[in-house]
Amino acid sequence: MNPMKILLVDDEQEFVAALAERLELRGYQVEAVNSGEEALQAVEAAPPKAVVLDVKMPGLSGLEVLKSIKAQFPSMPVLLLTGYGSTEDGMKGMRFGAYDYLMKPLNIEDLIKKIHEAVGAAEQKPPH
Amino acid sequence: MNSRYGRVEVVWGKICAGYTHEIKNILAIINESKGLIEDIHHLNKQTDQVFQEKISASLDIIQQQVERGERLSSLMNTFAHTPDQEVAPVSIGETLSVLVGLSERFARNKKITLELDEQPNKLTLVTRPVEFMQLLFVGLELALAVLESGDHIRIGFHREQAECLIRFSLPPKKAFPEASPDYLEVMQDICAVLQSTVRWDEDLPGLLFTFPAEPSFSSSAEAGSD
Repeated sequence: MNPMKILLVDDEQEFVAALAERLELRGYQVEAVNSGEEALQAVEAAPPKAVVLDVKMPGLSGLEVLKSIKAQFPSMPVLLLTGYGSTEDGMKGMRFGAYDYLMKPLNIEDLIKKIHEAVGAAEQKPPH
Repeated sequence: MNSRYGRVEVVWGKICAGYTHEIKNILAIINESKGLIEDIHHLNKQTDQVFQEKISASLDIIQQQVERGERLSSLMNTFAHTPDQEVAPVSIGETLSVLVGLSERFARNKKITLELDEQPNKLTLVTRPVEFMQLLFVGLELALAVLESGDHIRIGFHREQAECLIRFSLPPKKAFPEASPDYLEVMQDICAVLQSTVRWDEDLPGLLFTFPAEPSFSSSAEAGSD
């Protein structure tokens, strides 16, 4: 069985590198990028099973990236990562089609659980 | 220029709030790096028992400190957003939680304990958030200044008809308020702005703050960010 492919998007390179390695140790295939622009290229080049996306990033914000992804791949599950002032953005993101949002620092087991829930929910939805 | 920057506390609040996010990012990196070390450590079964235990103990300490940093930066973020609006509805319980959380260090230095009563109901007050926080902080400073090692401050609040009351219950001390006229003068000046009162209550004993539940402030909406 092929490993589930996850796209991680966060401008904090050390954060995303450590998280990617931890997910890989658990059997996931991870592509890690550090900007919204790179995320959109990655999604188009090889669509992942799920996207984990930071809300606050320089350049294209997480919400802008989310909208672009949803315009192109409406059923692609997206989870948002938020900070203190951005829980509102997390809720706004859910209105734009994000499955859910998680606060940093993360608990990796919670993240994995949410990824599986999001992928499961997307697979149950009828195609548009 | 945005007129809200005419208030100095808005500038301080924006900078502080912004940097709590940076601290949070640092904690997130430490947390993931610690998690990665933990994962690799669990994969390595060949290391001797003593070494494994030492690594586990160190990782536990890192985890505890990340959680401590997270709790404090979260309180600091809420505090930094106090000046976002000149007049706003504030949750008394949340304001007191922030005040107690951020004052624990000052209390601990004097070996005084702070306790906030559990409140089943949310109580909200329309007020000037900066001056409200300032008043409560000065009250707590007064208490910390005159109490002694081993003393205890219990903080609670409730609504009584058209007023919200906040009480700082302290151990009985003779001539307590008179011992600190400067603090009282400052508090009374702030109370004038907040349409509130502060007095020494013999029955508590302690400081009793009274706020009108529906004061008549002119409101200016000023949302902050970060």
